[in-house]
Amino acid sequence: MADKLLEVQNLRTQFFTRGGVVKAVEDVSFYLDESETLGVVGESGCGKSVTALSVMRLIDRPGKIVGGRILFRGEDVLEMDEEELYELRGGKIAMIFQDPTTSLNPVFTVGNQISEAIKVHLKLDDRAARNRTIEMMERVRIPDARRRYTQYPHEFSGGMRQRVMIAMALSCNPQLLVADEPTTALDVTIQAQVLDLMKALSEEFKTATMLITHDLGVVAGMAQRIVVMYAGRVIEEAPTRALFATPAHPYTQALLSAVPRSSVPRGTRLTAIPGQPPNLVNLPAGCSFAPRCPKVQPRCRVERPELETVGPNQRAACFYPY
Amino acid sequence: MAAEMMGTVPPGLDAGESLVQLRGLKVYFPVRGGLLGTVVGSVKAVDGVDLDVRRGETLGLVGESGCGKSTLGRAVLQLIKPTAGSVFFEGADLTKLSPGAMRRRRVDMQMIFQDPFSSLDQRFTLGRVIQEPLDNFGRGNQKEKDERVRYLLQVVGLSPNWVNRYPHEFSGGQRQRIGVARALALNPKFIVADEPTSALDVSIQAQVLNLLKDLQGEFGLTYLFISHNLGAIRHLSDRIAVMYLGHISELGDADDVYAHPQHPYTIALLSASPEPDPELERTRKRIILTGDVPSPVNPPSGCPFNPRCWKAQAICREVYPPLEQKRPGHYASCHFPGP
Ligand SMILES: Nc1ncnc2c1ncn2[C@@H]1O[C@H](COP(=O)(O)OP(=O)(O)O)[C@@H](O)[C@H]1O
Ligand SMILES: Nc1ncnc2c1ncn2[C@@H]1O[C@H](COP(=O)(O)OP(=O)(O)O)[C@@H](O)[C@H]1O
Ligand code: SF4
Ligand SMILES: [Mg+2]
Ligand SMILES: [Mg+2]
Repeated sequence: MADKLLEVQNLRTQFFTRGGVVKAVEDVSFYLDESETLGVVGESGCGKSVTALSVMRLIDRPGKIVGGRILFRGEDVLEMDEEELYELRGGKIAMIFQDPTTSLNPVFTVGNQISEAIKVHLKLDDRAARNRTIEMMERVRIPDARRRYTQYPHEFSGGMRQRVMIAMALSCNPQLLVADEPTTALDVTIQAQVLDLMKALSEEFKTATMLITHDLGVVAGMAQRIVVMYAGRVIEEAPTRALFATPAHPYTQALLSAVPRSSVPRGTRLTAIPGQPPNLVNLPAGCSFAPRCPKVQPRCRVERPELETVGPNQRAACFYPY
Repeated sequence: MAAEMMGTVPPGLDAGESLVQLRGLKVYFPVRGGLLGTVVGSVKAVDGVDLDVRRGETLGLVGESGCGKSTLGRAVLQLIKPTAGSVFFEGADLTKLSPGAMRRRRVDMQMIFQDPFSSLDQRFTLGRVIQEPLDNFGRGNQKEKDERVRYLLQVVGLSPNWVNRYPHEFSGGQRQRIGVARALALNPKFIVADEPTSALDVSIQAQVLNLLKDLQGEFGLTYLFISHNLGAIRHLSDRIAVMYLGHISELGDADDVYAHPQHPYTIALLSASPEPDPELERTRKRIILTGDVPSPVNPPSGCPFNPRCWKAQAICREVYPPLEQKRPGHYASCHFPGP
């Protein structure tokens, strides 16, 4: 069997803080096929960003990857030396974040920053890198790219800055794009522009995308498969249609009915999930969702449910799925 | 006569039905430039708004960031002085009240913010935070105030035993409940809720939306509910006003606005808002607008939406389209409304 593009196995990442050990990512496993878009959803603090940063090996103190394997085309990222990591980041795997300002240097022109990345990873000379940069800026539909090459990040709007990040990310032909809440800071009409662009480009470049978001609407339209996280763990994994049509885990079910949507008559009560997610330093025994779960049974509070197959390509970590 | 009804009559009602009436409301902020900091222009944050909030309703105000929603909300409560126009509250023009008379009026109107604690002293206990409005208006003795605070905590679903805790001990959703309790302290008639659920996760957002709905029924509240989230707006609102670049571009009953949007901006906004439904996402036609929202310092002439509008004709660049009734009780500011 051919290797998956990315295979994360039993990943565990923790932060060693004064308040205790934060178990940010616990025993997380998932995979991505070539040119597939995988949605990673869950509420804030559930471990989405830490998972993404772990894949890129960008976890700094007080954090540490304490277990698991991260196989990129069969090679373990956790075993790579600095040089291999350098080739990996920005070359084979590119990442875009919610706030592009943090990844753009305010004192260099936008064109300069994209072409530097291209020079390093594609080993092109100045002129070729410049041409490639302008081509990429045009492909992400930045109007007047030749002129805007010499502009600084602050001269771009939020949506345009995110396009710059996408241009930079895709300029080196990565096989995987990790996009962490790429449109969360954008207004809805600008979000639609950026998502539309990401979809078109990932098809064109055959790039796989790990799309992280808290917005179930965004993944509904973008992802082929979805992984749902809760309190540092994957609690459900399913093809997009199955996840929305027949969610198996009570948390996924609750999340879906908490979103106000157009098919629900106005004014009906939303099904809120009582309480809040648990503290990752002091997780409850058993299932982490048990304290909020409408279907909880005594067993749930003592034993931890493993992720198990519940339907075609659908897995859930619950003793009482559906 | 009929033409007049459909046309020039502002979307107004008599003062009996409307709790709040905005007429020609403008809020401009000066833009300073140069070494001397002279005024070189103005941000037209709210640029001529006529709007009524009916007694007991939730009027949803939706639009993208920077379109003027918060400024409008603050101007309604006179937390910002309008540059021009009037704000009538129960028929009295707030912009003309003396400071003393305005202060007495304040009791009836409160605001709920996105983060209720960004502006509060973190050293205050929960009890003190909620009691503060009562102190400010000299309401009750300490025993009565304590009782009121405990009652309010119960009303918003928090434990009355938490009065001595500090805001930082609470989660985002609980803090929003505290903000709501504080806003209710003086028994207001009208609440401006400015993005009250925007910082919350969906499961917690649902709790707060349900709470706001329940309290409205219980206390007969009137809401101006501001949000950029179309799902939340639709869920809570009886009527919806869509704002773009300081103007109201569409106004109508919530269901009618969603089912039959008239203004191209509303049509684009609704089509761009992702829904948690893969079938719908796969089949729906999405209108992708080009470009960004123009600067409110130099808004386009004519219709403010014209540079991004796929329907725009010459008249759109020249003549501002007044807010006119296009369907029963449903108004739009567009020369070429409808699908
Ligand atoms: N640098 C850090 N130090 C301590 N805890 C951290 C750090 N970064 C993340 N965490 C914790 O890890 C958990 C997961 O965080 P994150 O992956 O950012 O969540 P998400 O992206 O799903 O919102 C959270 O509880 C967060 O507080
Ligand atoms: N105090 C202020 N001084 C100058 N400009 C302001 C001020 N407050 C808001 N603005 C500007 O007014 C416009 C409308 O802002 P705001 O009402 O906050 O919009 P919204 O709430 O819809 O995001 C924006 O361009 C904003 O930058
Ligand atoms: S008035 Fe013209 S530009 Fe404005 S929304 Fe209508 S059609 Fe578009
Ligand atoms: Mg995150
Ligand atoms: Mg605002």
